[in-house]
Amino acid sequence: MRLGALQVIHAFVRLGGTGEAAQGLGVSQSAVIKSLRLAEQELDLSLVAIVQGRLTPTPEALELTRLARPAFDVLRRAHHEADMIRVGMADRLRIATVPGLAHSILPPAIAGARHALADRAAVEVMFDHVRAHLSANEVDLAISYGPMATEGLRDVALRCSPLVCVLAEGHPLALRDSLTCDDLAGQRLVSYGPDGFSLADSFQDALGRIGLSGRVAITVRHTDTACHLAREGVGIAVVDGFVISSDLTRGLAVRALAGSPLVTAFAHHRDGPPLDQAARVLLEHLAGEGA
Amino acid sequence: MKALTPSHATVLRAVDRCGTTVEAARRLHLTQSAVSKIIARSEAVLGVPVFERSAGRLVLLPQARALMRALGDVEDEWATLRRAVVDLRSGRALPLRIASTPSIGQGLIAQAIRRLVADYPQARIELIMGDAPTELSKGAADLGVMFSPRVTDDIALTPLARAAIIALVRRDDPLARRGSVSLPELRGRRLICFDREKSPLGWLIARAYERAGLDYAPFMTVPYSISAAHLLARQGDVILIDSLLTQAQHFEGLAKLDVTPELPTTICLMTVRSRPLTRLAARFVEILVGSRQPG
Repeated sequence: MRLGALQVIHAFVRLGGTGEAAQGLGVSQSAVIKSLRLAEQELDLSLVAIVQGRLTPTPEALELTRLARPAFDVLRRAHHEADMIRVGMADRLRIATVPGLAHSILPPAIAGARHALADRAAVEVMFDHVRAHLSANEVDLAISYGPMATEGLRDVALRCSPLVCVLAEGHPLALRDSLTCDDLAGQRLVSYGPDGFSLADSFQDALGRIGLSGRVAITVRHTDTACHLAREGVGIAVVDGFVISSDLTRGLAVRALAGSPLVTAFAHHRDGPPLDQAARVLLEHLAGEGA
Repeated sequence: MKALTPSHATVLRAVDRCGTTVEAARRLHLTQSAVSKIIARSEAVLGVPVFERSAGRLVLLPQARALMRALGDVEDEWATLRRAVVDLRSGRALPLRIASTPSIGQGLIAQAIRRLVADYPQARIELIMGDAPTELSKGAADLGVMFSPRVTDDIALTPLARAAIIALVRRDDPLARRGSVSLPELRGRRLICFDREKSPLGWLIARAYERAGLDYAPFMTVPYSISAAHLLARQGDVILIDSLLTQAQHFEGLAKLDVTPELPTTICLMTVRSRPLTRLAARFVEILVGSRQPG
């Protein structure tokens, strides 16, 4: 099974035709067709069918492309590791985070950990697919809003915070010390969508328990976006209180949301070999113990 | 940019395990110079050195440990992919999904499946008993086989076989001694049959009733012939079904009657024009079409 042939099949499936694949790969259409026919012989699979006069990927080609995704991913990762060696970051702390926590508890914890380690720790931060990154050994630590309860992964509860409302300072509700759910009636609310992988996403759970789940008009991925939208007067951002420790709310009013359930930030790491020193120090700072 | 290939990963891993190009070459059934060239090419593609020479051995550089782990994952994932290709080839990975009715499934389709599994012993097959045009349109089936279906333009029909409507009565029914019966002779009988709106066979039979000046009013409607056969409860009940069911299955205590004049129907293969078939499905179509009854 040749890598080049699989790349041609992948382009053919992804772009939907031989002409499009040729354009995408920068080769001639006849080269694409020849490569597909050779791959059919080599793999003994039917990959191309003529449907209504057009060369179309068969279900086998679609399935092969789907199955090849992890194989392409690990190849990309090997190249990434080589890139990291080239830039002197072979020995680094790798962290995956959900966007909601990326710009609140993570930056000060990284700053504190690097300080504690005399600036020796290089750090690589990745977003999204937190569980997949951790399971694939692509990261050392992950943070999210809920336990993963996945075999081989350990969940560590870090800290809790109630939901808060972030709004433009000129907003009439900014005059209050704290807001209630009733105060938010009729307001355009901005918040995060579900992370899609936690067993129990404590942020979504808190939104639901206080009755705001169905009332979010704009869902965002990053805290920054939520704060910018509040700053622009688009609406009131309902985020976790971890955001207060960041600079994101400068020039904005942050008001407690009365009766808010607590949101819990979790760290996750693989079971087995103990965490190295940099990861342990970061974990302490994430839990607020290293500050 | 040139990419690292899975075979490069295998060679780098072997060198890491063996410590020398000679031993790695022996294990991989390559020449030593081929292994040396692959190391040089891989390091050029990656843009970093991976090994250093020390006392005649190739030693992994400390900074390349994570890279070597990633190369291990490359080896594992590509081995998994090779196994998946075998599954795809054998028909195990993508099941053949056929939407049909029990009577066609037990006869025509069962015979074709017997021939298919001779070619593809590992194949997975799903027989879906549902409305074939609907199952095809929503992508839940690859092929449909049905009696004279009503379909949209995107579904191609290929006639496969002819069948006819027959009547079944209990053996203790006076009609049982006759070989045939006409629809007017069934007037006043309790009829178990298909819904005229939901079933092409129901529509065909209802039209025949109307042509004969009779009301089509089954006291019980069923989706499949086999359901009707199982529901024939008491003397006087009659079911009108397709002739395939009794060819494929014997029903104790029931007698078959031809319906006169004959009510012929055609069994059609259905495929979606805009959707290519898997090789398994294409082979099944070949078998079905090849075993087509003349006429």
